[in-house]
Amino acid sequence: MAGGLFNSNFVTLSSAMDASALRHRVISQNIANAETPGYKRKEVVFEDVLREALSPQELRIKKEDPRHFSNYPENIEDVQARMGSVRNTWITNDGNNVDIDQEMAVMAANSLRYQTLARLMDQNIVRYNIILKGTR
Amino acid sequence: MASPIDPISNLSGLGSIQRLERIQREDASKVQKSTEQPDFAKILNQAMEQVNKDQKVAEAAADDFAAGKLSSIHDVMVSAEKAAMSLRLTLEVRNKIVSAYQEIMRMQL
Amino acid sequence: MLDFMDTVNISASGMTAQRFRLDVIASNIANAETTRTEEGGPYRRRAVLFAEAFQNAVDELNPPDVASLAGVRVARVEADSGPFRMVYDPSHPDADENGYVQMPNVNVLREMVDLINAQRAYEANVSALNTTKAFANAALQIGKGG
Repeated sequence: MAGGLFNSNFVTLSSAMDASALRHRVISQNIANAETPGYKRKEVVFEDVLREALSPQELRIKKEDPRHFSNYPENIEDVQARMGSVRNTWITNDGNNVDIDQEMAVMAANSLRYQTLARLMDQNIVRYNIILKGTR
Repeated sequence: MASPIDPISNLSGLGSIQRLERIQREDASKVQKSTEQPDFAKILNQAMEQVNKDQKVAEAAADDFAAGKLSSIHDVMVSAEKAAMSLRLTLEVRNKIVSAYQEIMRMQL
Repeated sequence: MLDFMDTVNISASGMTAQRFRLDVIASNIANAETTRTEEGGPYRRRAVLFAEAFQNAVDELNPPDVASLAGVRVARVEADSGPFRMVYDPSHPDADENGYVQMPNVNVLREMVDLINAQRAYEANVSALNTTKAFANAALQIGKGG
């Protein structure tokens, strides 16, 4: 999708937005289960993976290390957000490790991030429209 | 202040910003001395390079933000807005040049 | 592209679950002194048990992915099997031959703490839902320009 008419922003911004929306869904699940016995909070891993895909030099160095399992895709288009459970945090008596305050803080930051990405995507489209239409 | 054109050997004793300003004035006066009239092609080329650079800077900043490398929202928004502004400015200049050209063409007929 | 409706439903399920829990807590508090119930005997405290909810069946063969998250559900309402409180009050109509009355196993202070927690959890789900609306609005602005 990148290359040709469209710059890399279309791919990186839209996939970062997908990951952010995914993260918000996972945070919503954590909040809904803040009082569920045995529930372990979930989180989404994405930005590190995208960073690896965008910096091929770092990727090459890691690949040469025999100890390293390369889960990092090489193409930006293949970067996907992953969900996992976090088990090693402080828990209450019933095994639940959700801290509502922490979830709310992460949620606020993630929401701001999504809105910034959406604005950047909008700006990207605005620039293309200026060029294509020849008007502001 | 001395005249705009100073020998480069006199720059060693100055502060860095003043040094940059003197070098800029030197370059500008050299350009004006070498050509009889302003070179539109050259000015346009420099403007295009600047616009291109602005776009690349904005695109790189957006990619960095998406990858979590850049955490400052205002930095990335400002660079996006600067890129859009320089694009609009170039467009306005182009439109004005085109309409001026058309007017000249009309006059000759 | 992620569907925000599923995310809204997650928060809605959390709100429903906490409202239900608030009702149960309110019932506990209201019946803290009830010595006669329809089933006979003093009121027994009730507690709500929550469980994570998924859209499809989930087990070791089918680990949950983000698309199947569905919030929380009420697994069951349990009767607290803890002992009734014995209160010495010979003048009470339900006192036994020794003057003791069996009172509900409700600790009002503990119920108040649970009530505050349930209220807080409810509001957190409302906040999450409002944030989902902010996401949807931001997405709708793309391409509008300016």
